[in-house]
Amino acid sequence: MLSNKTPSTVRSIINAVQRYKVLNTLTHDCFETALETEQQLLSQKKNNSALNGRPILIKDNFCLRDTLTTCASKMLANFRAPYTSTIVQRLIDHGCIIVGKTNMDEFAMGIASWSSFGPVANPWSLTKTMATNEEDNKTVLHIAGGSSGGSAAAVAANFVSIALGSDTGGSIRNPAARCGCYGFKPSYGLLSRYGMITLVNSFDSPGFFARNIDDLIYATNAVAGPDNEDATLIPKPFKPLKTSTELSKEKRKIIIGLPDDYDIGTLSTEYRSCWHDLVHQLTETGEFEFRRVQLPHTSYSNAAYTILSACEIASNMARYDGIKYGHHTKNIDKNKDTYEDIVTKTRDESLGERVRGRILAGNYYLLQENYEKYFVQSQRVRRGVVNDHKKVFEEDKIDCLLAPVVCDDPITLAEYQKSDHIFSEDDLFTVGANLAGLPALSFPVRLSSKGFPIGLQLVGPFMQDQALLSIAQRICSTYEFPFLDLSIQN
Amino acid sequence: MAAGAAAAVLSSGRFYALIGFEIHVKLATNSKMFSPSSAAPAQPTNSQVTPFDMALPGSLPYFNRACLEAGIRAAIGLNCQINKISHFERKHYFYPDSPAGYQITQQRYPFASNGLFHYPLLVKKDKIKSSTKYKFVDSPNSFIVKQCRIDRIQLEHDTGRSIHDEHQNRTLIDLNRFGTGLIEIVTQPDIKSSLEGESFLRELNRLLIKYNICEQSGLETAVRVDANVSLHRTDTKPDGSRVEVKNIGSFIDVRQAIDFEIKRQEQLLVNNYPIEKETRTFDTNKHQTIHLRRKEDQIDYRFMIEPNLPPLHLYDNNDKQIQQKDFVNIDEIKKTLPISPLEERQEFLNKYKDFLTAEHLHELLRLDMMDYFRDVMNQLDDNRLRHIALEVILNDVKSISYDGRKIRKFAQAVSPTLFADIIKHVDKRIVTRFSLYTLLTLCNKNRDSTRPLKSFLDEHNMYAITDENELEKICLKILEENPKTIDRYKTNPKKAIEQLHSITCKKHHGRIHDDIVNDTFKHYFLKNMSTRLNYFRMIFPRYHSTKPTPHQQNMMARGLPKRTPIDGVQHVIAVGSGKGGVGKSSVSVNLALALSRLSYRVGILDADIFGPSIPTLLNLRNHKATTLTKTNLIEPLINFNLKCMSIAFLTKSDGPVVWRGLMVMQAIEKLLRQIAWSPLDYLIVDLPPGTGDIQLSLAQLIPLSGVLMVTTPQELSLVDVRKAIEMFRLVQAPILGIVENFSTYFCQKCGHEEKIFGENGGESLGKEYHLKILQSLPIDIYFRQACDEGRPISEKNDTILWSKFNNLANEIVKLLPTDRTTII
Repeated sequence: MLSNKTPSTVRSIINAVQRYKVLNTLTHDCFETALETEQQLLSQKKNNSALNGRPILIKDNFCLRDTLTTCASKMLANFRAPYTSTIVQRLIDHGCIIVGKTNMDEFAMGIASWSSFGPVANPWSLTKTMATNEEDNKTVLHIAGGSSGGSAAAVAANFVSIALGSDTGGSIRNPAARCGCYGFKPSYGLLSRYGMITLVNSFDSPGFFARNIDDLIYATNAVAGPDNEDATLIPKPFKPLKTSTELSKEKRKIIIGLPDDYDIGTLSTEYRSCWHDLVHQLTETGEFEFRRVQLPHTSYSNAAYTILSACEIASNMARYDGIKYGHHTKNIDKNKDTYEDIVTKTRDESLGERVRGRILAGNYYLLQENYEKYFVQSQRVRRGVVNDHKKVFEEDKIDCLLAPVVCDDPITLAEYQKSDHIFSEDDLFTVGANLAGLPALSFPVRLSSKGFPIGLQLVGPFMQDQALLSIAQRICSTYEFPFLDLSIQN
Repeated sequence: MAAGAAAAVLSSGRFYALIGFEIHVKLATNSKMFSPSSAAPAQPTNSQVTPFDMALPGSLPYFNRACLEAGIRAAIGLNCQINKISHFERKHYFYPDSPAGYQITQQRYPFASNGLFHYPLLVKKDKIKSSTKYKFVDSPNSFIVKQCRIDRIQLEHDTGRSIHDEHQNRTLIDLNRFGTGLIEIVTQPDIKSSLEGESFLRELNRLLIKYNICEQSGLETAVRVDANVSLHRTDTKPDGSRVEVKNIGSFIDVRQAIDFEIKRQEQLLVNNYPIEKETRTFDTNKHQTIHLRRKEDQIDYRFMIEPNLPPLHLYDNNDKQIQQKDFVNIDEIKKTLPISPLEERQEFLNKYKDFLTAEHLHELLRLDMMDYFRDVMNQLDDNRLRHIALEVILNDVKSISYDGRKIRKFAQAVSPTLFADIIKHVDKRIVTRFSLYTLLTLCNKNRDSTRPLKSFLDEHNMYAITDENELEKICLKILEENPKTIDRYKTNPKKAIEQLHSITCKKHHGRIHDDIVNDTFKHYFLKNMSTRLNYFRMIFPRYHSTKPTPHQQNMMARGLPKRTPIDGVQHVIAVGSGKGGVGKSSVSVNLALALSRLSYRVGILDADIFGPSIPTLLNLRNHKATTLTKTNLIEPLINFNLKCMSIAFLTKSDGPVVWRGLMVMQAIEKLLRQIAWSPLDYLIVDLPPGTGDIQLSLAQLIPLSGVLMVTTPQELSLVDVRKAIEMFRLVQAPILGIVENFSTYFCQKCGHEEKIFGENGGESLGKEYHLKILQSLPIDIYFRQACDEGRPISEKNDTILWSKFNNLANEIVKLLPTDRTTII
């Protein structure tokens, strides 16, 4: 079927993905077109972009023309997008080869990347055991975090060097920390959302996973900037970010804030000590200064995020009626069923429980009598969170914040299945950046005692993505993280 | 009609109506409001759909600047306060033609609010004369201008279209319309009637078109109206309850829907049913509103700020940062706006004040001809031509375009340039006034709007015959073919010329100028019949000696008072005679009584200042008229169901009145004008004998519907009657006919018929003047007695006279029919 004669990067990726099928990173692949594209690019060789010929994976909520774009949901199981999202198009224009669409939580709601395609497994589980059968899998495999778990796992396992994801409440930073790779959520309004299937319009940020910060910068530079399809973008032209080689070796002292409000009870001792150890380590270099800061609205932020996201989700999901595209129920009683009945059946059959729960909640919050109580109140909290961060960055003169991303090591798939928490405590660490639209980077620091990566995140001031990434470069150059690489055959 | 209906509904005075509108206007933009696809109407289904228009996942709205600018133009036109920051919101509801499950609108934070709009009330006037400048207009500002407050204007987009396929029991969706830009204008409930509502909408529509906010061609479809109608008892305050009639497509439908709804609600209130809040729809075929759903069943739209669109910021010259090119500056838009229809009309009144009145404008507005009028005026450079054009527009064009309903089609077929050309031809007398209508109809039917006027004239040979020689030939031929008219000329020259004229016109359809052909004939007769005319002059010396030339007529008319009708009186009939003592007064009274018996409202005026006899005849001697009405008019006395007035009721005693001519004229005027005659179908005026001041005054003060000549068959009497007839003809009062009185006597004892005053006197007079003998009345003793006693004749006693007067009355009614349904 596929020619194996010429040495091909795409070919080796395909082999690796197929070998580690147990990770369940892809919803579906574009192997054939990827191979064709690779051949084309080889013959052209005109593009001098750093991304030229780079195979990438994209999360399955980005539209790619004539390719299934399912959002990992039964609702869109047969949906082939008739257009390509701005970001994906720009990546293609820079010579990226799209190898496949990665698995995720249904409509990006969740933190386990468990969808109608099954769960994504954490690649670090494979360093401890080799899964044998399906039932055992659930007890030996761990969750990869979510919702962009497929992208994170694929990058962490080194199938590809760059993958595209989206961050609504931590959906990039959480799996990046769980899987042990870099995950970057740029400022809101920097990357076009056009063609990315919306979860929460005012929180959604496309972003990248990579194994080094420069790759994040290459990818971001390729796609950032105004787009006439997205009215929420910053209209100013985008100033490209500088990579580590381009940056002057400045030795300005960096002031980093440590938010007290993030030091919560559920944060495990091991993860807290990782956080504190890094602070000590960096203080010793003399290039960094740490200050404790307060973000008093943090304890309310999760509730506000939950309400605001539920409202927008309820609104955004209203379009899935099975008429124009997507799943359409076959169980129709022609004599009896009204339009409403058919829509109800369609949505019942095709939307997961978590999704339906959020739609119900959102519609409840938006009822005329509840609007003030929930939606408006949550917007006030959101403004509070924005002001908290503003104060920290502007008055306390903090360059960025350093904080945990998750509390503890990932649980097994079986454990996850048993738990009935819809929202995790981990969200508290991540939603702040989304409520305030700030740039944030999750980076791996070291391995835990159980052998899982521990990640931390940096959160910078609005539109200071360049500064944030520069600081990250300086921090990460002080230590070496043992990246996983499953692409090498045995 | 509409006004009548609305007024009639509320005439009970127990209720008042409050009406508010929600008006959806489809904006005239090339692309849709939130997507770049075309907004053109009538395209193949689902051919104008971008990812956003079918709510594909991941698609985003991007606001179309043109829609915003159109909205701002509307806000300026409606004198709204423009909010510099406004928000878009999502309105959620499930419906197949709303693909996203919500509509983007501006519920809580509209971009414009608190406006005020002035509009002229369009009342249908019976007729307006375009020729006289101020005849029907009290003041140049006689528009009734109403105002309506505007609550707000919001931007939103349209939904798709559901097509219900009954055969296969399915619904198809066309998303071409989805996303096209709309503004919704919400008014305060300031409208009080269907007429006001329609007038408001029409003026609004004019503004919208003028400001290029919506398409002209889609006049009635670009604007969709929801009307909120509520009726309240006059003693209660509005309680906010109302009935919403959804989605009305035309202004006529709006009027009918409101009328129906007012009537329906009145019925409910009269029967003490409450008016429930509900949503109804209007059935265009049945002209009624139909229940859709109760207001309680209204779904919660779960409004939420549209997160994909930033707040809408507007700027004006006071803002510092307006330099940025993608900012919308309100003041810049204001600068580019043309004048509003209201200002334009004011400008017309100033510019064309020589011939254009507010009344004309009102009529042009009502007929929707304002634009055509403007375009035609711009094509003409002379006020005289413009005046002719105006007249033609308000007469011929009005009827060709079915009272303005087809004016758009007319304007397309007959371009203003072509129309102006026609007017110029009429003015140059190349086209006659008579062929004008035909010519316009021909042009209207023609599809090719570029076709020049000449080709029409050539094809249908519509050039007027102006060449004198040719005309003379034609006239001679007509005379040859119609020798009878020459004889007719001997007796009634005017009629003869009229006849000849009409024959000529028939023969050379529309190619004959009225005046020229008449002159030609007159010329002919003067030249060729002079010898015969001399013969006539001997018989009717007065006719020719007193007939004034047109110039003399003008000179004479100048000093005379204008004839104006008496308010509320339909017909004035004068009863006169040459000689006294022929029984005028008794004929007048009994004619009045006969008319009254036919259940007409009849009054009788004794114009004989010097010898009033009506008081005696109606048994009202020594009564005085002293009562005054509220309007300071004298109340006439009433007996036998006749309103009656005589100088005797106003003077002190039965003594003689010794007045000069001028005083007589004043007295007559007083008897006509300062008496509360209204309402009357017939006013019979009993004239004194002869051809004196009183007769002349009467004829010059009021337009007489007709004159009845009373005479005896005696030759002596006939001589004076001739004079009287000629006098009335001179002052152009139509003579209805002759009543021959005392024509015969039946002996009480033997029944022998004796013609005391001679035979056939009336008949010969009638022949002489082509007048009809309306009735011959015999001498009757009981009649004489009844008259003297002041009691009317009755069926029992006076059978012959009774029936004769009834016949006479019927004859009069036939000649002068009344519009009995009109309430004056």
